[in-house]
Amino acid sequence: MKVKFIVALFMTIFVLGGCNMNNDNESKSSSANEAKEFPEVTAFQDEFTREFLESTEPTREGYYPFLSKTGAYKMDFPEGMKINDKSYSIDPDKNSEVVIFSSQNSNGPFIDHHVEYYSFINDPQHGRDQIEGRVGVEINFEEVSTNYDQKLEIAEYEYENSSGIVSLITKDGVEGQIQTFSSLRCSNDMEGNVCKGQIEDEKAEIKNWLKSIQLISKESE
Amino acid sequence: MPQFTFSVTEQLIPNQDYTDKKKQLRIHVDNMRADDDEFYALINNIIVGEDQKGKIIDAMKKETTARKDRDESIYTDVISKINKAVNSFNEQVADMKKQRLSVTYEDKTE
Amino acid sequence: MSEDIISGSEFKTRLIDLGYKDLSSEELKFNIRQIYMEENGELLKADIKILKSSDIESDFVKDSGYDGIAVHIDTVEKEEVYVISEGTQDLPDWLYNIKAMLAGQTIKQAQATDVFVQEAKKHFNVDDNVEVNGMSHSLAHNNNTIALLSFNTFDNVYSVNGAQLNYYQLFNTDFRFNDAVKNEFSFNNDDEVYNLSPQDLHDFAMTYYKDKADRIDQVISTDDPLYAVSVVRGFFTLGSITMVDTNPDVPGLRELIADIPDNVIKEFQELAIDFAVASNEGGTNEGVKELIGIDVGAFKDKEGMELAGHIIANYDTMVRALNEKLPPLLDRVQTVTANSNEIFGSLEEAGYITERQKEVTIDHLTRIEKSLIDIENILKDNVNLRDKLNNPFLGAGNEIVTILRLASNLVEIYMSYMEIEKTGILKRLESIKDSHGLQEMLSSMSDGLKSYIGADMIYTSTSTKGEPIKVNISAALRMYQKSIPILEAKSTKISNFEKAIKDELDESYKDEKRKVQDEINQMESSPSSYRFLLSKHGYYPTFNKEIKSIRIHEIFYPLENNDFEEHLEELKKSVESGKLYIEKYRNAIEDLFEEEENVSQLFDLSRRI
Repeated sequence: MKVKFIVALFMTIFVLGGCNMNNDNESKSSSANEAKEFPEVTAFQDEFTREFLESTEPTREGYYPFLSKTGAYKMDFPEGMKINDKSYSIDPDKNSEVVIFSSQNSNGPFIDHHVEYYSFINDPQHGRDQIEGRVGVEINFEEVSTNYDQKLEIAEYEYENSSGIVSLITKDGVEGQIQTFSSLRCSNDMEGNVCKGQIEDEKAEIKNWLKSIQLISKESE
Repeated sequence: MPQFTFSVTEQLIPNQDYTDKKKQLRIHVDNMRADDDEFYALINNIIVGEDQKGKIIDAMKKETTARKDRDESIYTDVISKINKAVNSFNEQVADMKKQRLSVTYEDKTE
Repeated sequence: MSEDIISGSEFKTRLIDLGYKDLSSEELKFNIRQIYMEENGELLKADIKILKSSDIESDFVKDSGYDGIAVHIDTVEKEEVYVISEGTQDLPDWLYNIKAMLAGQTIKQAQATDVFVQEAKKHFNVDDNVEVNGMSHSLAHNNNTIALLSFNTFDNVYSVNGAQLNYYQLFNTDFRFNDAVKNEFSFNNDDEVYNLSPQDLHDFAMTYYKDKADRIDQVISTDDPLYAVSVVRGFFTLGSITMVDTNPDVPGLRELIADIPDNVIKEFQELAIDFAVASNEGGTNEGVKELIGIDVGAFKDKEGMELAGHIIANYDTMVRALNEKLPPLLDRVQTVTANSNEIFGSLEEAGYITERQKEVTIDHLTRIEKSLIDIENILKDNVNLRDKLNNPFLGAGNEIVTILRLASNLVEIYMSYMEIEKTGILKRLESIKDSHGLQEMLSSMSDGLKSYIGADMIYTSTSTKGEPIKVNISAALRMYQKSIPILEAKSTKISNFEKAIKDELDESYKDEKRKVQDEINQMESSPSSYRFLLSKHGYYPTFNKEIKSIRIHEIFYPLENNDFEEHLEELKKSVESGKLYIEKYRNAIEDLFEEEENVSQLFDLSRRI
């Protein structure tokens, strides 16, 4: 057991000598051809994002059905967004999953969504406290009615140059919870007022979108 | 009718082997030894390293060894005493089961 | 701010060490009191409460992977909570976490840490004014500090050989930081963070979190491999840092690693971790399989047509695997062989490996490289082989030769790996791992006459002539505390023995006597049942005789040889002399030290815990 551990170190040491070779491997196979079969939207053009999408049929205008890899929740995925594969994480036992996706066009505010699932956090108070801790300013959660039999609590915050919407989704009888963080920013080089004017609309859209996130109870699978 | 009497030595109850009692008694000695082992294990690590020398340490080491030896010889004595006692028990019980008796009978033909 | 109840690096490190020991709550309390007494020379006058992560909701530990212990100490004057977060214990987890950490992603464990601390505060019924200190080793440091910075879970964090913070991780966790980074570097979407210069981001993170740095205290061994690894992109070392050279025989790895581009290190790290996890689970065979994608063990002993047959049968998967694994592997191996003299030369110079290990390793790495190049050429020259994957008649003529060449190269790689392993170079490098541990750190924390071995406190006596004498004070105190209960236990066992003698001999003899007596009564009261005595003793014919009476002239002797008095006396004496012996031992140890070292006081206190 110990010896095998050393193998890892040993392999690290392989590179100790100060080599300066560049190992960048630009051998990504071009899958652009394949992509043609999919809807011409950012979400489907991105190979990684596509892995989460269940159908090329939109759930409603502008959204496609998304199933998380933990199988813990579903949601509508905004067609103009792309999941960042570098930030994506799922633990091997499927007890947590973090998906970060962003809008790719620069008309209007830039949006980043973090949807984070934790199977081991049950108490909604822990969730609210953690979200508040991560946002770093005082926030007030308000319960919002949803399409599903679950609890959605939403709070908003403002930073100097950006705004955010956070939410907590819990469901009686289902282990775990979803914490979401959405931030909206206007670029410096954009016409300030135009972008700012859109923020409220975008916020309303996000609040509506949050209602599509649905925790899946294991029994119903 | 006439009665006659004869006397014999009779085994009243079948013999039995009680050697197992040695084990029953020795278990207790093993238990005591286990306590000693635990005791000496506590002492073993106090002086760091085997090769440390000094008047006080030598004295303690000597004392410890003497103690261990003495305990060991007590156990050896106890075990041989157990063996002796159980063997003797075996014999004494066997003896006790043989008793002298007089049987009186009547002869009906006479 | 008044002094923490648990103060000093030694105490804290020993406390973290307790976390790994799998102790019950009662044992933990006792050990904390014991260490407190040893370190401070006085009893801890406080109420201690313990909550373990395994005590809360049943699935919490299993699902979150978080393992920790919360200790609530209340001295009436001061109340504090210490949370010992355990680093990952078993190897696959450890490696998985390093991998995740290098990728700068998961904060699952930090989330779990926060949940546990909140639960503990609830359990202990303490409010936010009570100081909560995080104690950690290894990966737990990363979790604890993320929790401190993002959730304000802790007031302070103290760590030994911690896995450092990662600014990508924090960028995705702490939204104020996220916002500040975007403002500072003028970008708008999260994924653009990976385009920033790591150095700039590193410096910004250090400045951004400067205010919280004084809440983080770290002790790091210059020989810790985790410390060496954290020079790569992503990590920043925050807090007040004490560096300790725990293994003065070697210079440490960080300097050697520092000049290498971090993408190279990262690639190797991943390669190494995949390999190590696989070989841990399935031996060398699995390890090689992970690297080249092929199960060489399945055919390395086959020859000729049998070998060709095996390869043909598995050709499809093999070529696919090689296509996928070979190019990056070859790159990596070439990076190493191109620099192997430097790499292994400096390792040898630094004392990590021997000359022979260096030579064999370089030699076989070169062979592995040659085989990999050959395989690559075979695949290149036979691109059309791929098209024949599903052709059942594949394998005639030249193709057989090609296939055998492929197989022999694979076997070469396998054998070369075995040769490298055989030199013991891997074992030799084990000392590197020790430098990550708590014990080596404790060993180097000596203070005057005080030092540590394992987690035990050692005093060095100079009061006698000649060589200084090292005494394990922790062991001596344990002896002093526990030997009396052991002797008492032995007393009980002596009484048990005494009772057993009575039962097995005296009582048993009485029983036997009773049985004989019963038989006598039986014979005397119903003599007619004993007709067989007539025939037995030759009184024929028996049909005309009738037994009228039996009289037994019984004689019973008292049991002999049952007197253990003397032996019991000896055993009891040994227990009594044991108590004297302990006192003598105590005095002897006290004599080794001067009055001011308070050894005598420690002995006295140890029995009052």
